[in-house]
Amino acid sequence: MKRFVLLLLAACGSYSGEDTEKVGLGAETGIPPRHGTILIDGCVIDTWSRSTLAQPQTKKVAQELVMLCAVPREDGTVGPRDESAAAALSAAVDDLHKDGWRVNLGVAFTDESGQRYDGTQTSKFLSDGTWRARFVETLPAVLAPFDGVEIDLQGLPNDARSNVTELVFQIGKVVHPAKKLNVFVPPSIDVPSDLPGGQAFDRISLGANVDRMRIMTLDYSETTPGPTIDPGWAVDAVRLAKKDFVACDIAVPLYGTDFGPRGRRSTTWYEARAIAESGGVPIQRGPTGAPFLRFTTFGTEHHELWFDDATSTARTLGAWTFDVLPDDVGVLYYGLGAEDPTLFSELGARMP
Amino acid sequence: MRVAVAASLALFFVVALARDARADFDFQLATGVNVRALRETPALTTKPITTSARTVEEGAVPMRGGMTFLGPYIDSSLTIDDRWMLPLIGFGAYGAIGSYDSVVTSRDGSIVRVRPWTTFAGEVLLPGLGYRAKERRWLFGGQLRTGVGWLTLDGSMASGADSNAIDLSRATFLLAAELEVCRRLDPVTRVCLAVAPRIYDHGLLNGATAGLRVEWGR
Repeated sequence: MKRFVLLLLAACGSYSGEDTEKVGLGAETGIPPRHGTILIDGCVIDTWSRSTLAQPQTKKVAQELVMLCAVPREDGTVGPRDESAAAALSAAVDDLHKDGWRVNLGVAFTDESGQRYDGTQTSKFLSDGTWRARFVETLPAVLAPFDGVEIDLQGLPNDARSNVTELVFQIGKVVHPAKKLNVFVPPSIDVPSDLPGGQAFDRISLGANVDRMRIMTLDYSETTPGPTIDPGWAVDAVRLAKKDFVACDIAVPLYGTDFGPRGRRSTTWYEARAIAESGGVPIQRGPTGAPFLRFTTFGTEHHELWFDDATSTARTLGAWTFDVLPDDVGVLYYGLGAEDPTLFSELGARMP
Repeated sequence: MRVAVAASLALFFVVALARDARADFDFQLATGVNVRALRETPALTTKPITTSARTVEEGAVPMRGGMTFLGPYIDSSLTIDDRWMLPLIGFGAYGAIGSYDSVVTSRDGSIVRVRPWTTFAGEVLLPGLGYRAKERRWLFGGQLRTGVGWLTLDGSMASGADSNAIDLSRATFLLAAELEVCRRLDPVTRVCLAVAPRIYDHGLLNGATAGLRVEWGR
Protein backbone atom coordinates (compact mmCIF):
# COMPACT_ATOMS: atom_id res chain seq x y z
CA MET A 1 0.00 0.00 0.00
CA LYS A 2 2.79 2.34 0.96
CA ARG A 3 4.56 1.63 -2.34
CA PHE A 4 1.37 2.35 -4.25
CA VAL A 5 0.97 5.72 -2.54
CA LEU A 6 4.61 6.57 -3.24
CA LEU A 7 4.08 5.70 -6.90
CA LEU A 8 1.05 7.96 -7.08
CA LEU A 9 2.95 10.80 -5.47
CA ALA A 10 5.83 10.32 -7.88
CA ALA A 11 3.45 10.69 -10.80
CA CYS A 12 2.50 14.18 -9.68
CA GLY A 13 4.37 16.94 -11.47
CA SER A 14 5.01 20.05 -9.46
CA TYR A 15 5.62 23.75 -10.02
CA SER A 16 9.21 24.86 -9.74
CA GLY A 17 8.22 28.40 -8.84
CA GLU A 18 9.87 29.77 -11.97
CA ASP A 19 8.61 30.93 -15.35
CA THR A 20 9.88 29.67 -18.66
CA GLU A 21 9.27 32.37 -21.20
CA LYS A 22 8.14 31.50 -24.67
CA VAL A 23 7.32 35.09 -25.43
CA GLY A 24 8.96 38.20 -24.22
CA LEU A 25 11.38 37.20 -21.54
CA GLY A 26 13.71 34.37 -22.31
CA ALA A 27 16.94 35.77 -23.66
CA GLU A 28 16.80 33.19 -26.41
CA THR A 29 13.37 34.39 -27.57
CA GLY A 30 13.53 37.15 -30.13
CA ILE A 31 11.33 40.23 -30.19
CA PRO A 32 9.89 41.13 -33.58
CA PRO A 33 11.64 44.29 -34.77
CA ARG A 34 9.24 47.15 -35.52
CA HIS A 35 9.54 50.82 -36.32
CA GLY A 36 9.87 52.48 -32.93
CA THR A 37 8.92 55.93 -31.68
CA ILE A 38 9.62 57.28 -28.21
CA LEU A 39 7.36 59.93 -26.72
CA ILE A 40 8.75 62.56 -24.37
CA ASP A 41 5.98 64.21 -22.39
CA GLY A 42 7.27 67.80 -22.41
CA CYS A 43 9.53 70.31 -24.13
CA VAL A 44 12.69 69.35 -22.27
CA ILE A 45 14.81 66.24 -22.57
CA ASP A 46 16.72 66.00 -19.32
CA THR A 47 20.27 64.74 -19.16
CA TRP A 48 19.19 61.29 -17.98
CA SER A 49 16.87 60.81 -20.94
CA ARG A 50 19.49 62.28 -23.27
CA SER A 51 21.87 59.56 -22.12
CA THR A 52 19.19 56.94 -22.76
CA LEU A 53 18.68 58.25 -26.29
CA ALA A 54 22.42 58.21 -26.95
CA GLN A 55 22.68 54.46 -26.33
CA PRO A 56 23.11 52.34 -29.48
CA GLN A 57 20.53 49.82 -28.23
CA THR A 58 17.94 52.59 -27.83
CA LYS A 59 18.52 53.61 -31.44
CA LYS A 60 18.11 50.00 -32.46
CA VAL A 61 14.68 49.90 -30.80
CA ALA A 62 13.43 53.31 -31.95
CA GLN A 63 14.23 55.75 -34.73
CA GLU A 64 11.80 58.57 -34.06
CA LEU A 65 10.92 60.89 -31.18
CA VAL A 66 7.81 62.82 -30.30
CA MET A 67 8.16 65.80 -27.99
CA LEU A 68 4.66 66.39 -26.62
CA CYS A 69 5.38 70.03 -26.07
CA ALA A 70 3.16 72.44 -27.98
CA VAL A 71 -0.17 73.65 -26.63
CA PRO A 72 -2.71 75.92 -28.35
CA ARG A 73 -3.79 78.95 -26.38
CA GLU A 74 -7.32 80.23 -25.95
CA ASP A 75 -7.22 82.13 -29.25
CA GLY A 76 -5.76 79.19 -31.16
CA THR A 77 -2.15 80.40 -31.18
CA VAL A 78 0.19 77.45 -30.88
CA GLY A 79 2.88 77.88 -28.20
CA PRO A 80 5.51 77.97 -26.97
CA ARG A 81 6.19 81.22 -28.86
CA ASP A 82 8.69 83.18 -26.79
CA GLU A 83 12.17 83.46 -28.29
CA SER A 84 13.93 81.70 -25.47
CA ALA A 85 11.71 78.63 -25.64
CA ALA A 86 11.86 78.53 -29.43
CA ALA A 87 15.66 78.75 -29.40
CA ALA A 88 15.99 76.04 -26.77
CA LEU A 89 13.62 73.76 -28.66
CA SER A 90 15.40 74.35 -31.93
CA ALA A 91 18.77 73.60 -30.34
CA ALA A 92 17.43 70.41 -28.76
CA VAL A 93 15.98 69.22 -32.04
CA ASP A 94 19.20 70.03 -33.92
CA ASP A 95 21.14 68.06 -31.36
CA LEU A 96 18.83 65.07 -31.79
CA HIS A 97 19.02 65.30 -35.56
CA LYS A 98 22.81 65.12 -35.35
CA ASP A 99 22.35 61.99 -33.29
CA GLY A 100 20.29 60.42 -36.07
CA TRP A 101 16.79 60.90 -34.67
CA ARG A 102 13.72 62.09 -36.52
CA VAL A 103 11.87 64.44 -34.19
CA ASN A 104 8.18 65.30 -34.30
CA LEU A 105 6.36 67.98 -32.39
CA GLY A 106 3.42 66.76 -30.33
CA VAL A 107 0.54 69.16 -29.80
CA ALA A 108 -1.30 68.47 -26.54
CA PHE A 109 -4.70 70.07 -26.21
CA THR A 110 -4.45 70.50 -22.47
CA ASP A 111 -5.86 73.47 -20.63
CA GLU A 112 -3.58 76.21 -19.34
CA SER A 113 -2.59 74.10 -16.35
CA GLY A 114 -0.78 71.91 -18.87
CA GLN A 115 -2.03 68.82 -17.06
CA ARG A 116 -5.70 68.37 -17.84
CA TYR A 117 -7.49 67.55 -21.07
CA ASP A 118 -10.83 69.37 -20.92
CA GLY A 119 -12.59 67.82 -23.87
CA THR A 120 -15.60 70.09 -23.69
CA GLN A 121 -13.41 73.18 -23.80
CA THR A 122 -11.31 71.78 -26.63
CA SER A 123 -14.45 70.85 -28.55
CA LYS A 124 -15.67 74.41 -28.22
CA PHE A 125 -12.38 75.68 -29.64
CA LEU A 126 -12.48 73.23 -32.54
CA SER A 127 -15.97 74.31 -33.53
CA ASP A 128 -14.76 77.89 -33.96
CA GLY A 129 -13.49 78.50 -37.50
CA THR A 130 -11.47 81.53 -36.39
CA TRP A 131 -9.78 79.49 -33.70
CA ARG A 132 -8.90 76.75 -36.19
CA ALA A 133 -7.53 79.28 -38.66
CA ARG A 134 -5.33 80.83 -35.98
CA PHE A 135 -4.08 77.38 -34.99
CA VAL A 136 -3.15 76.50 -38.55
CA GLU A 137 -1.60 79.92 -39.15
CA THR A 138 0.66 79.80 -36.07
CA LEU A 139 1.63 76.13 -36.11
CA PRO A 140 4.38 76.35 -38.80
CA ALA A 141 6.56 78.70 -36.77
CA VAL A 142 6.71 76.30 -33.82
CA LEU A 143 7.00 73.33 -36.13
CA ALA A 144 9.95 74.72 -38.12
CA PRO A 145 12.80 72.68 -36.59
CA PHE A 146 10.77 69.46 -36.43
CA ASP A 147 10.17 66.72 -38.99
CA GLY A 148 6.47 66.40 -38.36
CA VAL A 149 3.57 67.12 -36.08
CA GLU A 150 1.49 64.81 -33.89
CA ILE A 151 -2.01 65.81 -32.78
CA ASP A 152 -3.04 64.58 -29.32
CA LEU A 153 -6.73 65.26 -28.75
CA GLN A 154 -8.29 63.59 -25.71
CA GLY A 155 -11.56 63.51 -23.84
CA LEU A 156 -13.60 64.98 -26.69
CA PRO A 157 -17.35 64.52 -26.92
CA ASN A 158 -18.57 62.39 -29.82
CA ASP A 159 -20.13 65.40 -31.55
CA ALA A 160 -16.69 66.91 -32.13
CA ARG A 161 -16.24 64.42 -34.98
CA SER A 162 -16.60 66.77 -37.95
CA ASN A 163 -14.53 69.51 -36.30
CA VAL A 164 -11.68 67.11 -35.56
CA THR A 165 -11.68 65.97 -39.17
CA GLU A 166 -11.75 69.58 -40.39
CA LEU A 167 -8.86 70.65 -38.14
CA VAL A 168 -6.71 67.74 -39.25
CA PHE A 169 -7.58 68.48 -42.89
CA GLN A 170 -6.47 72.10 -42.49
CA ILE A 171 -3.27 71.12 -40.65
CA GLY A 172 -2.50 68.68 -43.45
CA LYS A 173 -2.71 71.48 -45.98
CA VAL A 174 0.03 73.52 -44.27
CA VAL A 175 2.21 70.61 -43.16
CA HIS A 176 2.31 68.38 -46.22
CA PRO A 177 4.37 67.46 -48.12
CA ALA A 178 7.42 68.87 -46.32
CA LYS A 179 6.56 67.35 -42.96
CA LYS A 180 4.59 64.45 -41.56
CA LEU A 181 1.22 64.65 -39.84
CA ASN A 182 0.23 61.96 -37.34
CA VAL A 183 -2.71 61.74 -34.94
CA PHE A 184 -3.25 59.98 -31.63
CA VAL A 185 -6.42 57.89 -31.80
CA PRO A 186 -8.39 56.29 -28.93
CA PRO A 187 -8.09 52.48 -28.71
CA SER A 188 -11.63 51.54 -29.67
CA ILE A 189 -12.31 47.84 -30.11
CA ASP A 190 -15.84 48.14 -31.42
CA VAL A 191 -17.98 50.09 -33.89
CA PRO A 192 -19.48 52.39 -32.77
CA SER A 193 -16.68 53.05 -30.36
CA ASP A 194 -16.83 51.46 -26.91
CA LEU A 195 -14.94 54.45 -25.47
CA PRO A 196 -16.33 57.80 -24.33
CA GLY A 197 -15.54 60.22 -27.14
CA GLY A 198 -14.26 57.47 -29.39
CA GLN A 199 -16.72 58.51 -32.11
CA ALA A 200 -15.05 61.92 -32.30
CA PHE A 201 -12.43 60.27 -34.51
CA ASP A 202 -13.57 59.39 -38.00
CA ARG A 203 -10.62 57.21 -38.90
CA ILE A 204 -11.53 56.86 -42.56
CA SER A 205 -11.81 60.63 -43.10
CA LEU A 206 -8.75 61.34 -40.98
CA GLY A 207 -6.83 58.74 -42.93
CA ALA A 208 -7.06 60.85 -46.06
CA ASN A 209 -5.00 63.57 -44.40
CA VAL A 210 -2.55 61.87 -42.03
CA ASP A 211 0.59 59.82 -42.45
CA ARG A 212 0.21 57.65 -39.35
CA MET A 213 -2.24 56.94 -36.58
CA ARG A 214 -0.91 56.23 -33.13
CA ILE A 215 -3.46 53.94 -31.48
CA MET A 216 -3.21 54.88 -27.82
CA THR A 217 -3.43 51.43 -26.28
CA LEU A 218 -2.69 52.76 -22.81
CA ASP A 219 -4.52 53.16 -19.51
CA TYR A 220 -6.36 49.85 -19.90
CA SER A 221 -7.14 49.92 -16.18
CA GLU A 222 -8.82 53.19 -15.38
CA THR A 223 -11.30 52.69 -12.55
CA THR A 224 -9.87 49.65 -10.82
CA PRO A 225 -6.21 48.82 -10.24
CA GLY A 226 -4.59 46.83 -13.01
CA PRO A 227 -1.97 46.89 -15.73
CA THR A 228 -1.55 49.92 -17.98
CA ILE A 229 -1.86 47.70 -21.05
CA ASP A 230 -3.39 44.35 -21.86
CA PRO A 231 -1.47 43.01 -24.87
CA GLY A 232 -4.46 41.16 -26.36
CA TRP A 233 -6.81 44.12 -26.02
CA ALA A 234 -4.20 46.34 -27.68
CA VAL A 235 -4.05 43.93 -30.63
CA ASP A 236 -7.82 44.16 -31.10
CA ALA A 237 -7.69 47.98 -31.02
CA VAL A 238 -5.00 48.13 -33.70
CA ARG A 239 -6.73 45.53 -35.88
CA LEU A 240 -9.92 47.54 -35.84
CA ALA A 241 -8.09 50.76 -36.69
CA LYS A 242 -6.21 49.08 -39.53
CA LYS A 243 -9.51 48.22 -41.20
CA ASP A 244 -9.93 51.97 -41.75
CA PHE A 245 -6.32 53.05 -42.18
CA VAL A 246 -3.24 50.96 -42.82
CA ALA A 247 -0.40 52.90 -41.18
CA CYS A 248 -0.97 52.38 -37.46
CA ASP A 249 1.25 52.23 -34.40
CA ILE A 250 0.52 50.46 -31.15
CA ALA A 251 1.44 52.19 -27.88
CA VAL A 252 3.23 50.69 -24.90
CA PRO A 253 3.58 52.48 -21.57
CA LEU A 254 6.90 53.32 -19.99
CA TYR A 255 5.15 54.77 -16.94
CA GLY A 256 3.16 53.22 -14.13
CA THR A 257 -0.05 54.14 -12.34
CA ASP A 258 -0.62 54.43 -8.61
CA PHE A 259 -4.25 53.74 -7.68
CA GLY A 260 -5.04 55.32 -4.32
CA PRO A 261 -8.10 56.52 -2.40
CA ARG A 262 -7.79 59.99 -3.96
CA GLY A 263 -7.58 58.70 -7.52
CA ARG A 264 -4.84 57.81 -9.97
CA ARG A 265 -1.45 59.31 -10.63
CA SER A 266 1.37 58.46 -12.97
CA THR A 267 4.57 57.07 -11.52
CA THR A 268 7.97 55.97 -12.69
CA TRP A 269 9.83 52.69 -12.49
CA TYR A 270 12.26 54.25 -10.01
CA GLU A 271 9.47 55.42 -7.73
CA ALA A 272 7.86 51.99 -7.75
CA ARG A 273 11.15 50.34 -6.91
CA ALA A 274 11.88 52.92 -4.21
CA ILE A 275 8.52 52.28 -2.54
CA ALA A 276 9.15 48.56 -2.67
CA GLU A 277 12.69 48.84 -1.32
CA SER A 278 12.11 51.41 1.38
CA GLY A 279 8.86 49.92 2.60
CA GLY A 280 9.88 46.30 2.30
CA VAL A 281 6.90 45.77 -0.03
CA PRO A 282 7.11 42.66 -2.21
CA ILE A 283 6.76 43.19 -5.95
CA GLN A 284 4.28 40.77 -7.48
CA ARG A 285 3.43 40.13 -11.12
CA GLY A 286 -0.05 40.21 -12.59
CA PRO A 287 -1.38 37.82 -15.24
CA THR A 288 0.05 39.89 -18.10
CA GLY A 289 3.44 40.02 -16.40
CA ALA A 290 3.15 43.64 -15.26
CA PRO A 291 4.65 44.13 -11.80
CA PHE A 292 2.58 45.65 -9.02
CA LEU A 293 2.76 46.35 -5.32
CA ARG A 294 0.23 46.95 -2.61
CA PHE A 295 1.16 49.27 0.21
CA THR A 296 -0.27 51.54 2.87
CA THR A 297 0.97 55.08 3.32
CA PHE A 298 0.00 58.22 5.22
CA GLY A 299 -1.36 56.02 7.96
CA THR A 300 -4.35 54.36 6.37
CA GLU A 301 -4.21 55.07 2.63
CA HIS A 302 -4.15 51.81 0.72
CA HIS A 303 -2.46 51.98 -2.66
CA GLU A 304 -1.98 49.58 -5.53
CA LEU A 305 0.75 50.58 -7.91
CA TRP A 306 1.06 48.92 -11.32
CA PHE A 307 4.00 49.61 -13.57
CA ASP A 308 6.05 48.06 -16.33
CA ASP A 309 9.63 46.97 -16.46
CA ALA A 310 11.92 45.42 -19.04
CA THR A 311 10.44 42.02 -18.26
CA SER A 312 6.80 42.91 -18.78
CA THR A 313 7.40 45.18 -21.78
CA ALA A 314 9.52 42.54 -23.48
CA ARG A 315 6.79 40.00 -22.81
CA THR A 316 4.20 42.29 -24.38
CA LEU A 317 6.31 43.00 -27.46
CA GLY A 318 7.17 39.31 -27.77
CA ALA A 319 3.49 38.39 -27.86
CA TRP A 320 2.99 40.64 -30.90
CA THR A 321 4.54 38.31 -33.42
CA PHE A 322 4.14 39.20 -37.09
CA ASP A 323 1.28 36.72 -37.50
CA VAL A 324 -0.59 38.63 -34.78
CA LEU A 325 0.30 42.16 -35.88
CA PRO A 326 1.86 42.70 -39.32
CA ASP A 327 5.33 44.16 -39.51
CA ASP A 328 4.08 47.56 -40.69
CA VAL A 329 2.65 48.21 -37.22
CA GLY A 330 5.10 50.39 -35.32
CA VAL A 331 5.46 50.82 -31.58
CA LEU A 332 5.07 54.09 -29.68
CA TYR A 333 6.91 53.96 -26.34
CA TYR A 334 5.06 56.46 -24.19
CA GLY A 335 6.76 58.46 -21.45
CA LEU A 336 10.55 58.55 -21.74
CA GLY A 337 12.14 59.04 -18.34
CA ALA A 338 9.70 56.84 -16.45
CA GLU A 339 11.06 53.58 -17.83
CA ASP A 340 13.11 50.77 -16.38
CA PRO A 341 16.69 51.91 -17.14
CA THR A 342 17.56 48.51 -18.57
CA LEU A 343 14.55 48.51 -20.92
CA PHE A 344 16.05 49.60 -24.20
CA SER A 345 19.27 47.66 -23.77
CA GLU A 346 17.26 44.48 -23.11
CA LEU A 347 14.88 45.07 -25.99
CA GLY A 348 17.72 45.96 -28.34
CA ALA A 349 19.63 42.84 -27.42
CA ARG A 350 16.61 40.72 -28.29
CA MET A 351 15.91 42.32 -31.65
CA PRO A 352 17.73 41.05 -34.73
CA MET B 1 -22.07 -0.38 -26.43
CA ARG B 2 -21.82 -1.98 -29.90
CA VAL B 3 -18.12 -1.28 -29.95
CA ALA B 4 -17.70 -2.93 -26.55
CA VAL B 5 -19.63 -6.02 -27.64
CA ALA B 6 -17.66 -6.27 -30.87
CA ALA B 7 -14.38 -5.90 -29.03
CA SER B 8 -15.40 -8.59 -26.51
CA LEU B 9 -16.34 -10.98 -29.30
CA ALA B 10 -13.09 -10.31 -31.11
CA LEU B 11 -11.14 -10.94 -27.92
CA PHE B 12 -13.10 -14.16 -27.31
CA PHE B 13 -12.32 -15.51 -30.79
CA VAL B 14 -8.70 -14.54 -30.52
CA VAL B 15 -8.38 -16.39 -27.20
CA ALA B 16 -10.37 -19.35 -28.53
CA LEU B 17 -8.17 -19.53 -31.62
CA ALA B 18 -5.09 -19.37 -29.50
CA ARG B 19 -6.31 -22.30 -27.39
CA ASP B 20 -7.32 -24.42 -30.37
CA ALA B 21 -4.13 -23.95 -32.32
CA ARG B 22 -1.55 -22.98 -29.79
CA ALA B 23 1.31 -24.05 -31.99
CA ASP B 24 0.38 -21.39 -34.54
CA PHE B 25 -1.35 -18.59 -32.65
CA ASP B 26 -1.12 -17.45 -29.10
CA PHE B 27 -2.76 -14.54 -27.39
CA GLN B 28 -0.53 -12.35 -25.26
CA LEU B 29 -1.54 -9.89 -22.59
CA ALA B 30 0.85 -7.41 -20.99
CA THR B 31 0.66 -4.72 -18.37
CA GLY B 32 3.30 -2.53 -16.82
CA VAL B 33 4.49 0.90 -15.89
CA ASN B 34 6.35 3.16 -18.32
CA VAL B 35 8.41 6.24 -18.00
CA ARG B 36 7.71 8.33 -21.07
CA ALA B 37 9.78 11.26 -22.25
CA LEU B 38 8.72 13.92 -24.70
CA ARG B 39 11.73 15.80 -26.05
CA GLU B 40 9.86 18.92 -27.14
CA THR B 41 6.29 19.77 -26.20
CA PRO B 42 4.28 20.61 -29.32
CA ALA B 43 2.20 23.73 -29.84
CA LEU B 44 -1.11 23.22 -28.05
CA THR B 45 -4.62 24.06 -29.12
CA THR B 46 -7.04 26.21 -27.15
CA LYS B 47 -10.78 26.40 -27.59
CA PRO B 48 -12.47 29.77 -28.23
CA ILE B 49 -12.59 31.88 -25.09
CA THR B 50 -14.18 35.16 -24.10
CA THR B 51 -12.44 37.15 -21.38
CA SER B 52 -13.23 40.55 -19.93
CA ALA B 53 -10.73 41.99 -22.43
CA ARG B 54 -11.63 40.22 -25.68
CA THR B 55 -12.81 37.13 -27.51
CA VAL B 56 -10.11 34.82 -28.80
CA GLU B 57 -10.77 32.18 -31.42
CA GLU B 58 -9.51 28.61 -31.31
CA GLY B 59 -5.85 28.40 -32.19
CA ALA B 60 -2.35 27.27 -31.40
CA VAL B 61 -0.31 28.19 -28.35
CA PRO B 62 3.46 27.83 -28.79
CA MET B 63 5.20 25.76 -26.12
CA ARG B 64 8.74 24.97 -25.22
CA GLY B 65 10.66 22.37 -23.28
CA GLY B 66 10.22 18.67 -22.82
CA MET B 67 8.26 16.63 -20.32
CA THR B 68 8.51 13.33 -18.51
CA PHE B 69 5.59 11.13 -17.60
CA LEU B 70 4.91 8.04 -15.58
CA GLY B 71 1.93 5.80 -15.99
CA PRO B 72 0.45 2.34 -16.40
CA TYR B 73 -0.55 0.67 -19.61
CA ILE B 74 -2.13 -2.52 -20.81
CA ASP B 75 -1.45 -4.16 -24.15
CA SER B 76 -2.42 -7.21 -26.18
CA SER B 77 -0.93 -9.09 -29.10
CA LEU B 78 -0.94 -12.31 -31.07
CA THR B 79 2.09 -14.46 -31.76
CA ILE B 80 2.26 -16.56 -34.90
CA ASP B 81 4.49 -19.59 -35.07
CA ASP B 82 6.07 -18.47 -31.81
CA ARG B 83 8.04 -15.88 -33.78
CA TRP B 84 5.96 -13.25 -35.42
CA MET B 85 4.19 -10.78 -33.21
CA LEU B 86 1.02 -8.94 -34.19
CA PRO B 87 0.37 -6.27 -31.60
CA LEU B 88 -3.36 -5.66 -31.35
CA ILE B 89 -4.54 -2.89 -29.09
CA GLY B 90 -3.35 -1.24 -25.90
CA PHE B 91 -4.04 1.69 -23.66
CA GLY B 92 -1.74 3.93 -21.65
CA ALA B 93 -2.40 6.77 -19.23
CA TYR B 94 0.39 9.02 -18.04
CA GLY B 95 0.81 11.90 -15.63
CA ALA B 96 3.65 14.41 -15.61
CA ILE B 97 6.42 13.77 -13.11
CA GLY B 98 9.10 16.13 -11.92
CA SER B 99 9.31 19.83 -11.30
CA TYR B 100 8.33 22.26 -14.04
CA ASP B 101 8.45 25.98 -14.67
CA SER B 102 5.20 27.48 -15.78
CA VAL B 103 5.44 28.31 -19.47
CA VAL B 104 4.56 31.88 -20.36
CA THR B 105 3.42 31.98 -23.94
CA SER B 106 0.78 33.74 -26.01
CA ARG B 107 -2.33 33.23 -28.05
CA ASP B 108 -3.20 35.91 -30.59
CA GLY B 109 -1.35 38.54 -28.59
CA SER B 110 -2.80 37.64 -25.19
CA ILE B 111 -0.46 36.34 -22.53
CA VAL B 112 -1.06 32.69 -21.69
CA ARG B 113 0.44 30.75 -18.80
CA VAL B 114 0.61 26.97 -19.19
CA ARG B 115 1.13 24.59 -16.26
CA PRO B 116 3.02 21.56 -17.60
CA TRP B 117 2.84 19.73 -14.27
CA THR B 118 -0.90 19.26 -14.81
CA THR B 119 -0.37 17.31 -18.05
CA PHE B 120 -2.31 14.13 -18.69
CA ALA B 121 -1.13 12.07 -21.63
CA GLY B 122 -3.27 9.28 -23.01
CA GLU B 123 -2.57 6.89 -25.80
CA VAL B 124 -4.25 4.11 -27.70
CA LEU B 125 -1.79 1.64 -29.18
CA LEU B 126 -2.89 0.22 -32.51
CA PRO B 127 -1.69 -2.78 -34.53
CA GLY B 128 1.89 -3.21 -35.64
CA LEU B 129 4.32 -5.97 -36.54
CA GLY B 130 7.19 -7.59 -34.67
CA TYR B 131 9.47 -10.55 -34.31
CA ARG B 132 10.73 -12.43 -31.29
CA ALA B 133 13.26 -15.13 -30.48
CA LYS B 134 13.72 -17.34 -27.42
CA GLU B 135 16.89 -18.60 -25.83
CA ARG B 136 16.19 -20.91 -22.88
CA ARG B 137 14.37 -18.71 -20.32
CA TRP B 138 15.06 -15.52 -22.23
CA LEU B 139 12.98 -13.85 -24.91
CA PHE B 140 14.13 -11.06 -27.20
CA GLY B 141 11.71 -9.12 -29.31
CA GLY B 142 11.30 -6.08 -31.46
CA GLN B 143 8.25 -4.50 -33.02
CA LEU B 144 7.01 -1.47 -34.89
CA ARG B 145 3.89 -0.05 -33.34
CA THR B 146 1.33 2.53 -34.40
CA GLY B 147 -1.08 4.44 -32.24
CA VAL B 148 -2.69 7.72 -31.38
CA GLY B 149 -1.89 9.90 -28.40
CA TRP B 150 -3.05 13.12 -26.86
CA LEU B 151 -2.03 15.63 -24.24
CA THR B 152 -4.24 17.81 -22.07
CA LEU B 153 -2.94 20.61 -19.86
CA ASP B 154 -4.31 23.40 -17.69
CA GLY B 155 -3.49 27.02 -18.33
CA SER B 156 -4.80 30.54 -18.03
CA MET B 157 -5.17 33.55 -20.29
CA ALA B 158 -4.52 37.05 -18.97
CA SER B 159 -7.14 39.77 -19.28
CA GLY B 160 -5.85 42.82 -17.48
CA ALA B 161 -5.54 42.11 -13.76
CA ASP B 162 -7.57 38.90 -14.12
CA SER B 163 -6.94 35.58 -15.75
CA ASN B 164 -9.28 33.01 -17.23
CA ALA B 165 -8.77 29.26 -17.04
CA ILE B 166 -8.21 27.58 -20.39
CA ASP B 167 -7.85 23.96 -21.46
CA LEU B 168 -5.09 23.09 -23.85
CA SER B 169 -4.73 19.88 -25.79
CA ARG B 170 -3.03 18.27 -28.73
CA ALA B 171 -3.47 14.87 -30.46
CA THR B 172 -0.92 13.02 -32.53
CA PHE B 173 -0.23 9.89 -34.54
CA LEU B 174 2.30 7.59 -32.88
CA LEU B 175 4.93 5.33 -34.39
CA ALA B 176 7.28 3.51 -32.05
CA ALA B 177 10.08 0.97 -32.42
CA GLU B 178 9.95 -1.24 -29.35
CA LEU B 179 12.69 -3.55 -28.11
CA GLU B 180 12.14 -5.95 -25.23
CA VAL B 181 14.08 -8.43 -23.19
CA CYS B 182 12.03 -10.86 -21.11
CA ARG B 183 12.77 -13.58 -18.59
CA ARG B 184 10.30 -16.37 -18.14
CA LEU B 185 9.00 -16.84 -14.63
CA ASP B 186 6.76 -19.81 -15.38
CA PRO B 187 5.43 -21.36 -18.61
CA VAL B 188 3.02 -18.48 -19.30
CA THR B 189 4.41 -15.55 -17.34
CA ARG B 190 7.35 -13.33 -18.23
CA VAL B 191 8.80 -10.17 -16.80
CA CYS B 192 10.16 -7.81 -19.42
CA LEU B 193 12.24 -4.70 -19.79
CA ALA B 194 11.03 -2.68 -22.77
CA VAL B 195 12.46 0.38 -24.46
CA ALA B 196 10.59 2.13 -27.26
CA PRO B 197 12.06 5.13 -29.06
CA ARG B 198 9.24 7.09 -30.61
CA ILE B 199 9.83 7.49 -34.32
CA TYR B 200 6.92 9.92 -34.38
CA ASP B 201 5.30 11.42 -31.31
CA HIS B 202 4.11 15.01 -31.89
CA GLY B 203 7.16 15.23 -34.14
CA LEU B 204 9.97 13.11 -35.56
CA LEU B 205 12.17 11.32 -32.99
CA ASN B 206 10.47 13.28 -30.26
CA GLY B 207 10.54 10.89 -27.35
CA ALA B 208 10.76 7.40 -25.94
CA THR B 209 9.25 5.10 -23.36
CA ALA B 210 10.97 2.66 -21.06
CA GLY B 211 9.51 0.39 -18.46
CA LEU B 212 8.97 -2.92 -16.83
CA ARG B 213 6.05 -5.12 -17.67
CA VAL B 214 4.60 -8.52 -17.04
CA GLU B 215 3.44 -10.61 -19.99
CA TRP B 216 1.11 -13.56 -20.00
CA GLY B 217 1.08 -15.97 -22.91
CA ARG B 218 3.37 -18.58 -24.40
